[in-house]
Amino acid sequence: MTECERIRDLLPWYVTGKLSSADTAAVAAHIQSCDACRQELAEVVWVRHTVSAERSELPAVRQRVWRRVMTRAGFRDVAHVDVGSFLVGFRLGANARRPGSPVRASLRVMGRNVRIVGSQRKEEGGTTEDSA
Amino acid sequence: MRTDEALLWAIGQADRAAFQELYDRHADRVYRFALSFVRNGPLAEEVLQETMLAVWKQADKFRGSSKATTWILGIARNQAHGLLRREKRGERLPEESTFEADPAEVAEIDVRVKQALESLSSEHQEALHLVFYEEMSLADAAAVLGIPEGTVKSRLYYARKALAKELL
Repeated sequence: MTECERIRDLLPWYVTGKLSSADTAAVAAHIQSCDACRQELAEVVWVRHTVSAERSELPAVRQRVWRRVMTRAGFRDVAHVDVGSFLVGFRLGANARRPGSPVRASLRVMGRNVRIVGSQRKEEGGTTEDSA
Repeated sequence: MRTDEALLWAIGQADRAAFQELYDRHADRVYRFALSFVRNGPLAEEVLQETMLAVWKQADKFRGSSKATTWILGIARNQAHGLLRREKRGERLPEESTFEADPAEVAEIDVRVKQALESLSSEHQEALHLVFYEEMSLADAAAVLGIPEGTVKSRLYYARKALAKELL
């Protein structure tokens, strides 16, 4: 393998900053004196930018898939009641995970959930609820 | 903020709050990686769903020998392979999907770039994704893909040459 081939193999991780300091120094020194590898570097930078930009614009699916994950994992909310106000920074929530299961309640204060009733443990890939 | 490893340990103890925190942290990553492999929005959503269920069920098996991200994306890749195999054999019907790309977002994506990326093989797309979007080290990308480091390098090389040929 020539020095140019070795350097070109390292370029993707050179532009993402994932090389060791020794390899980073070797690439930096080589591209200063090699036009061909400098052109390769420009191409790698362009590909990185293109891939990152395209991926960043993909639609967000997090919330709707989370609902399906909750259902499949066995802890779907069957009822949910919220009182309070986000304006003053708190929310009181209570919910039952399954018909007949104990009610859990939590207080959301300044963005943090504080559980005030209920606990849970996992059984066979699902959950059961125990009152605190 | 808890580390991913701490969250996985807590999930192994059935801590649902930890599960939601890990999900919020990694869901978009898993979805985007899945999309680079299966190239189909609804199927990528299914990969995300199955991956996170597997994380919920198997978190207590995480031993910390690899990074949490590497472990989770490795699961995602296995799930994607499994779904594609079952679909090929006609063993599964696609789930009813609510997949809707936001038209405003889609309009922003350069159609030529999108087409050029989609014309690459799954193997080339996932290598590009892990190294350039996830910014994974060579060793981590090789671990997720289950291939030697030299193969990651060659896939990346051919993928970027193909993209450059198409777009430059």
